[in-house]
Amino acid sequence: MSDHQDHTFEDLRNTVHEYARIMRRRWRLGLLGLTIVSSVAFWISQYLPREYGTTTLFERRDDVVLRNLVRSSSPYNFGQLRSGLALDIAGSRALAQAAITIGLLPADAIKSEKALTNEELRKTDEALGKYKLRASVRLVQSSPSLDTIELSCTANDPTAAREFIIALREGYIRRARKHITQVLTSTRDFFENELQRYQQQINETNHKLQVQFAEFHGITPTNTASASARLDTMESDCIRLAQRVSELEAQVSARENFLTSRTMCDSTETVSPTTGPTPVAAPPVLRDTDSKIDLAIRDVEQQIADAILMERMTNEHPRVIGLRRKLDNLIAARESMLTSFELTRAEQDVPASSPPSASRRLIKRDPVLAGHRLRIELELDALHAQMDIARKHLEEAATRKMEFATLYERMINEGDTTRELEGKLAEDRNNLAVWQQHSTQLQRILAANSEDRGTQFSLIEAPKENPLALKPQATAIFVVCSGCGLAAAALLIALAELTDRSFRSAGQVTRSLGLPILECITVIKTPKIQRKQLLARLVWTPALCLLVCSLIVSASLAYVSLEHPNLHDQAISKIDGVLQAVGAPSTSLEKVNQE
Amino acid sequence: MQKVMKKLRAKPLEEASETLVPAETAPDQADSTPTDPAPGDQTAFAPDPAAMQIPNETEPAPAPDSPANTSRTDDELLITNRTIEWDANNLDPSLVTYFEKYSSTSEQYRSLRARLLNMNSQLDHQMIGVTSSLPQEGKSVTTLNLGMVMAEGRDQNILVIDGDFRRASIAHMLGISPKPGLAELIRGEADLAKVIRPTHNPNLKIITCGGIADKNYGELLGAASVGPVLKRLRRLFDYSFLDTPPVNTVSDVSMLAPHCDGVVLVIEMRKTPEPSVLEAVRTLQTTNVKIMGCLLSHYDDQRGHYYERYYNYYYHNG
Repeated sequence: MSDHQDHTFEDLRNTVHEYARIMRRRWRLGLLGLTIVSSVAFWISQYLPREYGTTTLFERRDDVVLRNLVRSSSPYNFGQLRSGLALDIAGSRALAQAAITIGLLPADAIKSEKALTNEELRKTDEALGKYKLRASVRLVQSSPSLDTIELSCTANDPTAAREFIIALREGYIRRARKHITQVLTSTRDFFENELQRYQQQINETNHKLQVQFAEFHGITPTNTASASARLDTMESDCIRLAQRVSELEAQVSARENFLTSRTMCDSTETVSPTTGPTPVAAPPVLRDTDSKIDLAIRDVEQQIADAILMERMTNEHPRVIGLRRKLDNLIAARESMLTSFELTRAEQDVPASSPPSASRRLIKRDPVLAGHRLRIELELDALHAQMDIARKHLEEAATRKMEFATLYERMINEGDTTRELEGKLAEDRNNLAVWQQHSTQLQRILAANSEDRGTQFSLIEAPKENPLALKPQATAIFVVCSGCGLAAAALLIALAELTDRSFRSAGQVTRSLGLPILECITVIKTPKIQRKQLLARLVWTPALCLLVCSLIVSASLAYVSLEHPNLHDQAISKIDGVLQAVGAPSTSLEKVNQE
Repeated sequence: MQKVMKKLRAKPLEEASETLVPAETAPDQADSTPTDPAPGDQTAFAPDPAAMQIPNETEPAPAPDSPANTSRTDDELLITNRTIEWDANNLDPSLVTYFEKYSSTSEQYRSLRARLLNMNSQLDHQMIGVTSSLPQEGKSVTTLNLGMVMAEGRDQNILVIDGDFRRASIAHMLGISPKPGLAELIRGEADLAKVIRPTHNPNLKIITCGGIADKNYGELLGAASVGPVLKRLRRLFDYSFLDTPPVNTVSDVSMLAPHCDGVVLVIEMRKTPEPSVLEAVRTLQTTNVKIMGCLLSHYDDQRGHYYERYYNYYYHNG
């Protein structure tokens, strides 16, 4: 392993030594090839066609409202427009229109409305090929409402590149605005249709809900809790009215029993009230007053009942207390009125000739009892009336309760449908509001100027006429020219070595002849040899210096032509002047540059 | 045994130096450090009309029949300790072992010397050819520098022979006339004593290529006397370095190299194509020539700079 490495290292060392020996021997030839070929290459590089580039940066700001105006699936959506940005700016049609704008193509060169025909494409390519115009688009920054677009153009002429890029940008802006206007105009009709559709849907839904709501007075059909509470109240009303009727019936029964029992007590000498003569009725004035008081009493009682049952007031409520006080006053007033009437009638209106009745007999026997009986009779009449009303109210409450129970059952059954209708109505109303808002903004946008309509363009960086060529680059030129020179030098050295059949090393002699090397005698520097060497130096040194100078000059010219074109033009004009003065042919670089 | 052989071989030389070397150029002085050439100092040297353009000889060559050499063989008597001072202005600057004796390049040649000595453990007399596949790869420079560093040893006689008749590089590098040389020796037109040239180092001798008027090199190298001449030279000197023409260019090597004990192939790095070198190797192998090894010239490996730096540090600071 070690021997192998030693051999490898030895081989490598021998190889390096051999190359070093060759270079020592052939360096003049190599330098000759390097300088000549590199100089020629550098000189030729000045004639290479240049590629100039320019760049413009502009901003496209979409209206915030319009951004979501068009559906994402629509080909007119802004997202879709953004995705086709490169084609819109630097597509074949855009390139053709820009070529027409800067005068490379006649105005009537493009006649097709949609895709370019092959003939039109060929014409466009030819027109652009004259200046080797190429455009590229890059989206530097993209957000939902803001795009920063970098438009680059290359050509063999900086002015043509600048004009072409301006034409491309302006054409894109003009087409984009026109397109947006078309989109907005077509969108306006679509919006109006949508508004009408939503309005119609809302009306239909409203109608359906109103039909259902008409049957539910004061109740939201979807509010089952409220309806349930109201049904409970109705049931309570029914129960209360039934209790009232029962109470009244009990009172009536009690009073009738009283009157019947008192009549039986007085029947020893008189007939029973049922069989005997009926007591004398109260005068009409008294009856009217009594009935009014009775009505007032019932009205107050009804108010109290409503306050307690319907309005959920307690007995301690001031209003209830006031009503009860009023009720007591009315009852007291009626008692006092009846008492005074009985007394008056007992003293003044008892004629001797009139047939004796039980009341009269009672009045005669006991006027207080007679007054009391009369009062009971009046109360019985009032109770009968009250009971009739209470029964009537009970029937009405039962009817209402039954109807409401039916409604409640429907409400339970049709609640989902109603809720759906309500949800649909709310959604339609929201949509309608959104569309109305969009429509309003659309009207505002359409009413605005063309420049401010929908999308705004602003220039960030204007294209400049860049005199420095993008291609070829100085580094590439230097690498290629130096590489050519080095390759030529290597080729020359290789050719010289290949064609040289002489011996160049002792090892070669040994290998070739198989004879031992007795000694190697170095060159004896005799004056003759020294003279030859001096002569060679005198010839070679100026020649190589001249070639190196030519290499430096041509390389400098090549560099200046790329990095400082103006300086290069001046230098070339001076060189041409010198050459013309000498009578030598012109470099013709100036003509090439002018072309 | 080797030491005994060395002593036996060195003894006549020492005796010769005692008798032949003048006092002002004692062997100790000649062997120690190379005296810096004094281009303007011509008074100490007497020109030898016979040696034609041989500069600054310090002592005339002794006559073969001199009484002092009666105890030696004729050939051994030819090897004298006579030295001459080279004119640095005429020398090729690439003789780095002469001009920059302590440079890293000189040390590289010494390293080459050490390897060759190691390869010859029997201390036999050797004749080593120096060749290359193509011209201008550094054969002559290598031969001369190698001869000079080999001659730095006291007990070794070194001979450098220029076998490249077409270019006569050795003579040009030393700034001397190629005549008389090996060609005259082969043709028998000149004596060995006249052909062997002394140098600044008594242990180093030079034989130039000589002159061929009709440029008929094949006929000359195909002569029957080539073998005996080279054998004689090999026997005389401890090491003989024969500078030969390039292998792929001419066929002289095929006739000279078989007489050598071995051949050093010079390859210039980064210049000589591999196929040419391969072709040269095949040619040498087909002629049964022993290739001792390769010498890489113009080697520009970074390692050379390191060696030079350490070498300078060692010598200048040590």
